[in-house]
Amino acid sequence: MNPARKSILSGTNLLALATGLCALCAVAPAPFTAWVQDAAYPVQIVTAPVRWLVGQVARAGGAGTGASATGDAPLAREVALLTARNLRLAAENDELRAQVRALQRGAELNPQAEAMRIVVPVIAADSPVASGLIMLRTGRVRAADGSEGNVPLGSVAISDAVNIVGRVVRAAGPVADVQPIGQAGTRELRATIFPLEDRADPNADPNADPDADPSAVQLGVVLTPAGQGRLRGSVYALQLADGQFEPAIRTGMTVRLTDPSWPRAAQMLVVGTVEAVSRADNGRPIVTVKPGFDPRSLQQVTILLTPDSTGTLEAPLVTPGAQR
Amino acid sequence: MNWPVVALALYLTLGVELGSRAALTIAGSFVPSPLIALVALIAAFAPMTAALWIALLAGALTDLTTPVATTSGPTIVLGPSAVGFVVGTYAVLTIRGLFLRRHATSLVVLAVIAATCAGLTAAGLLAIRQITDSGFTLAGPQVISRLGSALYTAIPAALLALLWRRAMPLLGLNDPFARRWDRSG
Repeated sequence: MNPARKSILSGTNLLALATGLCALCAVAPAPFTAWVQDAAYPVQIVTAPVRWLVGQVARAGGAGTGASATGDAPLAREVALLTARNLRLAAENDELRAQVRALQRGAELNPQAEAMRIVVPVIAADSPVASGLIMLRTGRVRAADGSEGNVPLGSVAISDAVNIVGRVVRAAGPVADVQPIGQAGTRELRATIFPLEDRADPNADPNADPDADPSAVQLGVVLTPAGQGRLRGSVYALQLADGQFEPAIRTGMTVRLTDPSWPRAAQMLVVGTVEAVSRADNGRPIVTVKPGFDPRSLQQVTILLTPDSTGTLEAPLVTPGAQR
Repeated sequence: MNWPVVALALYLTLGVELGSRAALTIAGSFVPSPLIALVALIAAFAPMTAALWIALLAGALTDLTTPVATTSGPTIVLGPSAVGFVVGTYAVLTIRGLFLRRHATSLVVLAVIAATCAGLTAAGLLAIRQITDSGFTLAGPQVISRLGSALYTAIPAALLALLWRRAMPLLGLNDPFARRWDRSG
């Protein structure tokens, strides 16, 4: 072999070439690097098992069972286990009751909310400082006509039956990524607060009419990401009862989605609760909303598969069976 | 170098990094990187070309599995970590002779230096991307979070460094400070 040719094909030269190409990809505009999005999926799928396993361990470690603190006596340990089981069952009962109440309340407000729901496990959530994406193991979805495909982009992911987690922004093969609401880079979100809804709240207005229609008074808010997974927006009156002043916003009030760019089935689901209230220069109240889920502790989510999942999401949207 | 074992170690470490990222985030934006720590530790003992190839591969895998948050949504960008890891590894290769590499603290310091170089390089490339691509705007500051993350990487690096002397034979790395008669046995 020619010595000159051999030196060109040396490992060092190839390494320099590969590094240069990577640097070029890093700074090249999006149209030239669109293929990278497709190339990423095989890598993400291959790393998903370990990622899921570590995610499970991390979540279990965060939960902390405290079993070691129960002592060595077998009887005491048995009592502690039974007590824990009873408490867990009681908590599950309370949670189910709350979910039924929340679903009924959501159905009252949005009677057209019908969607096929699939419960899928969470593989792992990315750090909020990176993309914040939550990776799900969705498998293939069977459509009504029998065809199989990926989860439709734009489908809404929820947790605990009513809390909106986000929308599916990427799906390929057995996995899909959900962009959580409140994550930097997400679009603004239109929502509504029903001040009369939370009358069971001990902080609620004691003078409020207990028989009043919860939807009689509505306050609108356009929410944008505010960092740390929170959303923030200025509140305005949407609908007030005759002769009534705008009611005060309190922390703990439920904020519900009323955004026409989201699927119908997601309307009136819970965006979060009001965490803080401040005033803008013009005197309008500004609310900080804390979503009703914690990406670090999500074990599974429910995906609403609706005919209108494609909505008006900015990403290119496809229907089941027609995706890449 | 035992390439299959190195590949397995990279795969497992990448999975650990991705799976634990959300749980280990502190101060809102600091995330440790066990993968750059592993790459730096390999670079402390491996031949130069092999260490740089491993860094490029590990960085590319990081890029492909870690979307960058932009104002228009998460975007996969191939290159920032790949080039960053290569730069960080080159820094380790350059200065490794100055360190007592058998000492765990030295390995931790090398890992932090590699992570700092990698983070700053990645931040610089993403800043250039913002200039060359009008539709690409980063959703948050990069330099501070990457510097904090580099310091935070000292923790996984310390854990790796403690196991390192047992891991080196498995990875097929030679300890240049081992006595000749020890190697023959």
